[in-house]
Amino acid sequence: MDIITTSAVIVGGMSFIFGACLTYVSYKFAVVLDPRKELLLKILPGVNCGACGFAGCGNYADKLAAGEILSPNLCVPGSDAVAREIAKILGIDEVSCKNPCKAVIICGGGSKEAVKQFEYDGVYTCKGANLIAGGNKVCKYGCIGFGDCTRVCPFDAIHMSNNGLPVVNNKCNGCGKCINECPKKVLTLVDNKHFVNILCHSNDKGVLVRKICTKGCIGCMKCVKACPTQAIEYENFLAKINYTKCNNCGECIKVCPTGTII
Amino acid sequence: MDIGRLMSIIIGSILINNFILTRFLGCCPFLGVSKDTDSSIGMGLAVIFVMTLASSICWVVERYILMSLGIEYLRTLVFILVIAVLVQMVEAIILKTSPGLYKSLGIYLPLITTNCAVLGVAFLNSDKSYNFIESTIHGFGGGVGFMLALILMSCIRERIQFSKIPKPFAGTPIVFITTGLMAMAFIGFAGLIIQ
Repeated sequence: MDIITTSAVIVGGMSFIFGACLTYVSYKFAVVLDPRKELLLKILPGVNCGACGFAGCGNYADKLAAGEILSPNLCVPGSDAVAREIAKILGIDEVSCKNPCKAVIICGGGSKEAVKQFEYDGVYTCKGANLIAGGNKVCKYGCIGFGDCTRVCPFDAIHMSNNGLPVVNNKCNGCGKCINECPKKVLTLVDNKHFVNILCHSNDKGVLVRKICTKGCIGCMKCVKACPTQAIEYENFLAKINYTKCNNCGECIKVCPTGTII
Repeated sequence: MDIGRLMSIIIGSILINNFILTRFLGCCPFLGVSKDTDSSIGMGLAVIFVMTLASSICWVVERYILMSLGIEYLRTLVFILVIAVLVQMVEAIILKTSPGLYKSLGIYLPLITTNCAVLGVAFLNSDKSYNFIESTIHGFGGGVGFMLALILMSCIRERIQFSKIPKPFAGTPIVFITTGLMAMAFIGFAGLIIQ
């Protein structure tokens, strides 16, 4: 036998034996994956926002497929459509869906409106600034404006305006990550069908608010009287909309002297 | 078989001729997996296992198949074949027996297939004409040396994350510089005399 034949036979034979070994191992150690998990992963948005309460879409799909979690409607970004698809795969009939909602910034005091108490020159995050005398604005309730919410948003739905206030665009699907991130809690989730909001959540007295912010609620109570459905409640020197009663008529917007309601 | 020679091989392969820091073999997983200590330990164990097994099996294949038939020129081809099959098997077995480890190793496990440290140990064994036990010990020592360098690097990188690095050096460049400094420190082991 010449050397070429030997080489070919040996290498071919070895490859064949190794191939057989691999086949044996892949049968012996075959891992049975739940096929539903693959399907669920395809349906879930895959943004790993964590709004469902689990560590990412993979983890939620794992829990659903394993039957540890039976609620298919936990995915906030996916909302109705995803919940129905999941229910179909898991064989659950009725799905109660959450209404789609979006994040709203309940503060109108940007760098033009709110009075500053000092110039902040530290780490450029809201959390950092909040540790130093509660941020550089006199108002202890208002938005600090360093954009922690813009950085945490997995959907690119919040951007800072030139006025130093976050602006939510229509990419927002209400996962609520920014709400947990904001040290001042000036973000809140509001049902998509409501678009009248009071952009202030200062509990300071009206006199003080008037001095430190031109957009703040001064507690004049004009909106409370103007509302035809009694949807605006006044407590702790602040007007608040009761969203279950509000019918988006916009009467309050017309009467507000500071333009806090929009 | 004297113990002294085996000791000199094992210490030589861990410290003096460390596969990463002296021979500069297997740098890809060294830079890829050294981001945190847990996965570097997993990767290190996988490399130890594969290197030990690869060096012993490659020795058997070379001695009893290639040498006896006079086709040593196929060394590279056959070694790569053996190593690739081994890694595939290890991957399948880990996936079944410990999914956690599989998850943390992720894409790096197939990287061992193309890890030149594993191929390098097989070549070094045949260049130095080690016998079976010496080859196995050399492979094991090489794996331990790899793991040592990987864990040291991951500990350093965990600290690098919290230090102020000039912008052009942030990320991989500082890791390369650190590797160079570590390699210089390891050259110091060359003065170690083993009787």
